[in-house]
Order: sequence, then structure tokens, then C-alpha cells
Amino acid sequence: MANKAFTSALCSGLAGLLLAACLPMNADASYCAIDDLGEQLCLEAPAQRIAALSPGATELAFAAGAGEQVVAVVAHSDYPPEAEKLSSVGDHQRIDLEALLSLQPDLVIGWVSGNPPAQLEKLAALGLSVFYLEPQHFEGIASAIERLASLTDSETQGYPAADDFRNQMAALEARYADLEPVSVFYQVWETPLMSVNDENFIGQIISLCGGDNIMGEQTRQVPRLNPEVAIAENPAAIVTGVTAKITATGSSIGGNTLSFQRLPMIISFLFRLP
Amino acid sequence: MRTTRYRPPGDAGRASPVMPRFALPLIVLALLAVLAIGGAMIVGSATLGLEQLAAVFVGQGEPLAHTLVMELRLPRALSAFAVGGLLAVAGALMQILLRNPLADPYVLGISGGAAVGALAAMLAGLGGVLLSGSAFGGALLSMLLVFALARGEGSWTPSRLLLTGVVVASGWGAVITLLLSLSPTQALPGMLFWLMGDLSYARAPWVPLTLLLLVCLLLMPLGRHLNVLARGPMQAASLGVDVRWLSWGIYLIASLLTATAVTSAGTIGFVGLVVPHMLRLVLGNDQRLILPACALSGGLLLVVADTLARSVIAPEQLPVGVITALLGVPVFLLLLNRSRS
Repeated sequence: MANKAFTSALCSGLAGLLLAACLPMNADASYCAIDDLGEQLCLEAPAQRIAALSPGATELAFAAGAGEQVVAVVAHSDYPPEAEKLSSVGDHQRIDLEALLSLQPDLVIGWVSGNPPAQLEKLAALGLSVFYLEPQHFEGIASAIERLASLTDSETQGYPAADDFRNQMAALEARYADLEPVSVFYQVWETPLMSVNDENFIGQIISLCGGDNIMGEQTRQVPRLNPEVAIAENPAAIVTGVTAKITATGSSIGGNTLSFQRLPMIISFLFRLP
Repeated sequence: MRTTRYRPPGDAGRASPVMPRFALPLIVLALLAVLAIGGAMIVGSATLGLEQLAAVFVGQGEPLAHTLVMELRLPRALSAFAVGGLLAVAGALMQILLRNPLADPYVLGISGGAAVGALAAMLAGLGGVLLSGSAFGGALLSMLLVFALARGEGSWTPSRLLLTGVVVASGWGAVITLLLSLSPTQALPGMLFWLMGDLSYARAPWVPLTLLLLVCLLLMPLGRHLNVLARGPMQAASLGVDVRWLSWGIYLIASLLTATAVTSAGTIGFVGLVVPHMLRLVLGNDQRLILPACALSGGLLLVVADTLARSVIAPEQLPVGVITALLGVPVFLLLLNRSRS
């Protein structure tokens, strides 16, 4: 039995190797990638007209070297600056399907949890190729860049970009790995007070950069908190977005002596894509 | 059986002159509705000429124009018409049933039940038909719950039904808030989108349209009984109407209409509350006229509102409820003011 299993494992391994060896040489290979729902999407020709239905998808498409092919974006797509000049097809939560169809995209990059599922299903039913994206971790971002590069035949740009991103992340990790962790409270929103857990991208970045997120163990990705909890944990640093007013939160607790320190937004690393 | 003793006031022995009196407003409203649906075919963020539109309807035309009109604009306009009509008829029925001018299709908790069903389905990761099914199931559950709780022995009282419904609706409201605050962050946009009400995900306009037509036909012979019931259950009972049966019948029909509307397009407010009042101000309070007129004008209002919602600041799409209220409030206030003077 063991022998047989070994043989079959060996065979499938060999077959995999052969297949892997053959694929790059296959001249008329279609342009395929697996999306974040686990579905494989194959295009007969590299995508020439891309509709990116989230600001993040726009950034990823540009990072993958397919910026020229993006023809439609949604509101708030402001990075890279070229994206602001592209036609908008509405807000990511309420897409103007008519405007989108009029641009005749051959690839729609959907946002799994951000776009209305019924609208994406409608697009698929009308025969459009919908590629669902929602990276959950850094490797997901890198692989999304690679997968978009595969669909747009721009591997020569996309793969190095993805590797560059991985290297930057690895460099950050190496830099902070051996330092004493700093306990951090990240404030997403002031009223109600909201933070992030370790599953969230911001939480992952805090850990990567030597922080110890005091709300990391919370069950929800964006927990809503009583300020007392944050103060009781006595974090060494409080990090927030530029719009939040940390001092107000401090004073709302009343007479506490914690000195809040406003640190630069770490999140800028996330989108520092080449 | 007892209903045979009842003679409707004013119309005994002269049934025929009624038809022309009702026909004119209904024909005008039907023409306006057709115009509105035609307008919805023309207006959109993609500009289509009339020739292109005509080509599409005779089965020619370029594929893009065909898709835009036949796959996006027409189903959406028909859904809007059906949903608006259902809500207005349901609202008119609820106002008669509860004898309360503030009653709307959602007052007895149908929309709350549907919303809880829909949100629970989204939490479970369901979509498509299962999601609609869950919303419809929630609405029916709420309907049966209110029915079971409000159905006491003794005489029929609208206030008992109203109170039961309002309390059940508040209960659903609390469950919705709880679901929203406990749901994972990534599920929230979809949930809020559903709760706001939108016609962009209405799929099969034929279901609500057929129901609307069937209910209008069903209610037509009941119009006289409804007229009497609108004057109060005591008067109706003294004129020989079986108030209990009629009331529960209206309750079931109105709930079914609301459940279908909410399942198709979420909770779109305002139409069900104000359209019946507007029509009463203009056409008088004869249910034989008001109910079909509600079906037509509710549909008309929602088609116009949805067309504006998707095109005013295109490509941004406005929630349709905003437009129905912005259109309806001034018109209603104007009518109210005129009727007083």
C-alpha cells in the first residue's frame, strides 16, 4: 500500500514537473489566474480594457504593469495619480452598470466584500469576465499583482513588482524582528472608539513593524470598544489616521495621565507599491 | 353569506355609470406610466438615440445597445413599476385596515422580518435566490407572528393589530441593529446596501408584476366592502360585512404584497405611505378607484424616481428612496394645501 501510494505520488509529482516545464513553452496558452474566491478565470487574449471596481484594484492593476489598460475605475481611486483621470463608473457600493458596460471592458476586477454581489453576478451573467479580488495578507497582495499581470500579459513588469513588494515587506520584518515589541493601540475611529485585530491588514502591519497590537486578539476585525479597555491595557503608543483626534479620546476618559503620542500613519507602507 | 344583505351606499341599482367615472383617471395614469417607462428606456448614463432604441425593440441594433436596454433598463423599469405599485396598494390597504393615516406597508413589521431574513442569509454567506428566499421567509414569519399574536377572541380591533405589529417591528429593528453590530466588517457594505433599498439588483420583474395584476383583479369585487370598512369596523359590521374575515384577508394580501416588494428591492420608503393619500386628495376615497390608481401611480412614481436616481449625478447612483421623497413631499404638501382651501 505504502509503496503504491509512493509510486502514485511520484508519478503525479513527475507529471506536475513536466506540466510546469511545458507551460511556458506553450505558445497559444490562454491567460489564466485563480481569483480570491478560488475560481479560475481564463482569457483568450490578454485583457485590454480593465474595469477596476475598487480603489485597491486600481492600484494593483497599475502595480501589475496594466495601468494603460484600465478604462474604468470607481470613486476615490486616487492612486496612482493617473487613475484620477480615468472614467468613473460610480461608487464601489453602487456601480453604474450602464456606464460600465458602455466602456466595454474585457476584464472586471471585482471586490469580494465591497461591491454588491448581485451587481457582479449580473455582469457575469452578461458575459463579462469577473475576477474577484480581496487580498487578506501581504502575500495575497503580491500574488494579486502577479495574477493580474498574468491576465494582462505583463508578467515582465508585474512579477518583479510583486517580488519588490515581498522584499520590502521582508526588509521591514527583518528590521524589527529582534527588537523589543512596543505595545500599540491603533485607533481607526474616535466615536465610537474602534480598533483593529491581528487579522486586519493594519494589525498585520503593526506586528510586522515591531508593534504588539493590544487589540490583536479581538474576534472582530474592527472591534468597537469602550475607551476604558484601551486605557487599561496601557499601550506604549497610540497610532491613528490623520483625521482622528487622539487627545479628545484621552480627555473623554477623564483625568487620565496617559500621554498620547501621535505617530505617523503606518498604513502608508501598505500602498507603497512601485 | 351575510354579505348578501349589504347594499353599497349610493350605487344600488346603477352600476354602469360608475365605469366611465373611473375610467378617465385610470386611463390617464396608465398613459403616464407608459410614458415614464418609455422615458426610463431613453434616459441613462449611456446616450442612446431614438433610432437605436427603436432598432433594439424590433430585434436589431448593435449588441451593446441591446444589452443596455433589454438587460438593464427594461427589467429595472418594470421592477420599479411593479414594486412601486405593490407598495402603494399595500399602503392603501394598511391605511383602511388600521384606520390610521400614518400606516404604511412596513408599519406591521413585514420589512423588518424580511430584513432580518436577508441579513441572516448574508451572514451565512448565501446569495442570489437563497437570499431572496430567506428575505421572503422572514417577511412571512413576521406576518404569521403578528397574526398569531393579534388574533384574540372577541371583536376585531384595528388598534390591537397595530400595536402588535408596531411592537414586533421594533423587535425586528433591534435584531437588525444587533446583527449589524455583530457582523464581520466585510459583510457590512452588502448589508447596508440591502437595507437602503435599491432596484439595481431586482432580477425577475415578472413575479411582482404578475402579483400586482392578480391582486388588482382580486380586489376589484371587494371595493365596496372596503369602502364600508374604511368608515369603521362598527359601521361595516352593521351593514353586514364580515369584518373579521375581510380584515384578515386584507392583512394577508397587504403583507404578501409588501413581502414581494421588499424581497425584490429592499425597503423603499415613502411610496406606500404617501401615494394613497395623494390619490385620495385628488380622486376621493372610493377604494374601487383608489386601489387600481395606487397600483398605477405607485409604479409611475417609482419608475420616475429610479430613472432620476440612476442618472442625475451619473455615474454616481443615488438611493431611490431619496428621490421618491424629494419628488413626493412637495407634491403631497401642495395637494394638501389646495384641498384645504
